[in-house]
Amino acid sequence: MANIGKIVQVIGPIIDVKFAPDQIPDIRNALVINFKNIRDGKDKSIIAEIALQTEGNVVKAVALQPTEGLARGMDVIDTGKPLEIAVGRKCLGRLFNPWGEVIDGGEPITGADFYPVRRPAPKFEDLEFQDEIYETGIKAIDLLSPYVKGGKTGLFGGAGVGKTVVIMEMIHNMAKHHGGISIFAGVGERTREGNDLWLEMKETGVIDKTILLFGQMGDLPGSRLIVAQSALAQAEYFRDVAKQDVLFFIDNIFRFVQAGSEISTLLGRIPSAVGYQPTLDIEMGRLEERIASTKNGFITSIQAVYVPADDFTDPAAAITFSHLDSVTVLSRKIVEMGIYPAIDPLSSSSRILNPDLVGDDHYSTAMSVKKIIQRYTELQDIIAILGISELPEEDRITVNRARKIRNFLSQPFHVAEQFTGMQGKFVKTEDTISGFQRILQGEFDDVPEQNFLMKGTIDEVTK
Amino acid sequence: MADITLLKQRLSNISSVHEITEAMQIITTILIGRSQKLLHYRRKIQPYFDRLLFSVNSGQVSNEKSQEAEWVIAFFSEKGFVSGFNQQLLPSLAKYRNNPNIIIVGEKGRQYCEKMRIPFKHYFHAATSIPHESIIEPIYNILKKHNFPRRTKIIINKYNNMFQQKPGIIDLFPIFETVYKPTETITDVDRSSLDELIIDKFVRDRLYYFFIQNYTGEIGSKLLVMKNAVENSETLRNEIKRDIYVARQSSITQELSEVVSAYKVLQTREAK
Repeated sequence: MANIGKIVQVIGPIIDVKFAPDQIPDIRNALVINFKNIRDGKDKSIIAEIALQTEGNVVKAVALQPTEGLARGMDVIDTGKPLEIAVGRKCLGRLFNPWGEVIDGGEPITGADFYPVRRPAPKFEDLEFQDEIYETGIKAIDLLSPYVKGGKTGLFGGAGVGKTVVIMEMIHNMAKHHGGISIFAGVGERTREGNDLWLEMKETGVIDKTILLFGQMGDLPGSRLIVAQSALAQAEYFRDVAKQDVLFFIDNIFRFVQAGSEISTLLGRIPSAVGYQPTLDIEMGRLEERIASTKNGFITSIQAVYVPADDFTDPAAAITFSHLDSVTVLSRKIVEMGIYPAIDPLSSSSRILNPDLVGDDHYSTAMSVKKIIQRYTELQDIIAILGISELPEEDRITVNRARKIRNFLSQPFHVAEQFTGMQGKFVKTEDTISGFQRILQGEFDDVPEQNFLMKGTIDEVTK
Repeated sequence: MADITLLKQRLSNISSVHEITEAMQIITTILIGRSQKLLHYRRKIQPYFDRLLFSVNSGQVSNEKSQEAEWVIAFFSEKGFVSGFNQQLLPSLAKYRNNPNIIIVGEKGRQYCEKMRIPFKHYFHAATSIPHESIIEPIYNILKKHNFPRRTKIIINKYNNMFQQKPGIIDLFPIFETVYKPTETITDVDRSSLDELIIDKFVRDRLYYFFIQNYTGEIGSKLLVMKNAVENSETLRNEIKRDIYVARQSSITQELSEVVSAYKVLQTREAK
């Protein structure tokens, strides 16, 4: 006999449901509401997830779909278990919404395994760490903030600085060469971008090893909150059961926080700093701790992080920082100079950028690049006031080389070929290191700085 | 949003630079007033000295002397912050890079020569309160020692005004013999001694004229640079001030909205 409750209140995506006193469902249980749509008269079903239990045997549930058409007194079925989605090989090459429905117009998945969307993080003793570089083919990233295989990486940036383009390029470069499975979670971003990605993956033939899940910006906060978890459940299946390495992309983790904040407000929780939910730390912690590599396999994650108003002290950005192995920061100032990818060399960092792990050559080159750009940044005010001609000779050389390095950090992308009209370039790490070393040594002091813009290897500069 | 502490630090640095450049602008304004007055006076009397020189026996400055070695005296600034004042002289100096008889006036000139590997025979500071003793006299003595080489070239920025200083190569002695018109004079001393006196006076005076011109040019360039620097630092300061106001206003708004929203939530709870 199903446990059935009654709707007592609907405020936006929050549904209050009253159950019998001895049949109050657990928090995180999935609820289903079946009703007839008043517009077209068709049968409709809404899934909701219990977020809160309140007085009077009432639970507050977060709807994953629009609540239009719901009415007080409607029956609500408690499924008796948390939200589950289909996982496994049958899901490869398919597009899903956060609650596991196929959205690519194809046949629904049958006969697959099911995993709860919310799962615990792996145990301490099962965790496995590796200090191997994951080559992205993007010069600025490979040199200054090399990604760790099985690690977590954040791509930070304000609105319109190119986070999605960088993540798309990485999918293009990494998923193509990566032997394992790729999973993409589109969290609260543009639906068009999701469509572009799907088409791009179909074109490049990597779709067969990929699963895409989307809860985009037009979806309810419940949907945006759960999509990263659903995608993660897929990744966990491949890591734990199929024992395969997984590449896990999230665009954009900030929208997950934002969705949590919306729900928190609707649930009536007292907002914390900057209006975020008081449970920000734990929500983010639970998600990020699940993105882990174990003895069974690695999950290498790359997460785009929107930085509101370019403020890196924003709690959402700050809390994400603490979970990551590598941080790549995209800067608006660099975008304004027309340099793409607009990676900020001074703010980007990586745990693995250590001479013992990446080698002396790589480390010293990266540090020299950072040092010379740091000096250039220090001199920028003086240059703005007095002009470059008033600098001492050695500073003028530093500035010239720094500007060349800054330009050489740009690179044509495969996914941006239609915008730039330039063929995308994948640059090997050793070519990147030798290129920057040669600039630092002054080998290209006579070459105009414009020649360094949008180039792959250093040999292209002199062509 | 930018960090207010960092912005304030930057503002403080730029304000210091602003104060320094403003002070330098005031000093250079005073200095240029004086040197321009002096230069104007020298320009007025220069034709008289020229005429005096032209009256000497042409043999004193031409004929056999034309075969002598060429000398070059290049005037540069002593200090920096003069924009392109020195750089624009370099192409002219580079033409004489193989000349063994180069005299450099000004520290910046010496530095450029070393950088461009241009050998020079003598070097003198350009900034001095006693130019007659520290620059004019020694150069005069060098030239005298070499019998006042007729083909002596001066590389200098010709000062028109603060905004226009044209680099050029000038002859120390007017080279065309036709301009020298020996005049019949009745004097108590012999003619050759008189000619020597005239040349002596002419060379000293001409060198001083070049020194004044170079000095005025240096000060003029510096004034222009400082004027621009004051304007640029003012603009930069205003931009940073605006960023600070925006950041401060944003944090105030944020705090207020947090207080108000928390109060509202608490109020709602109490009402329940």
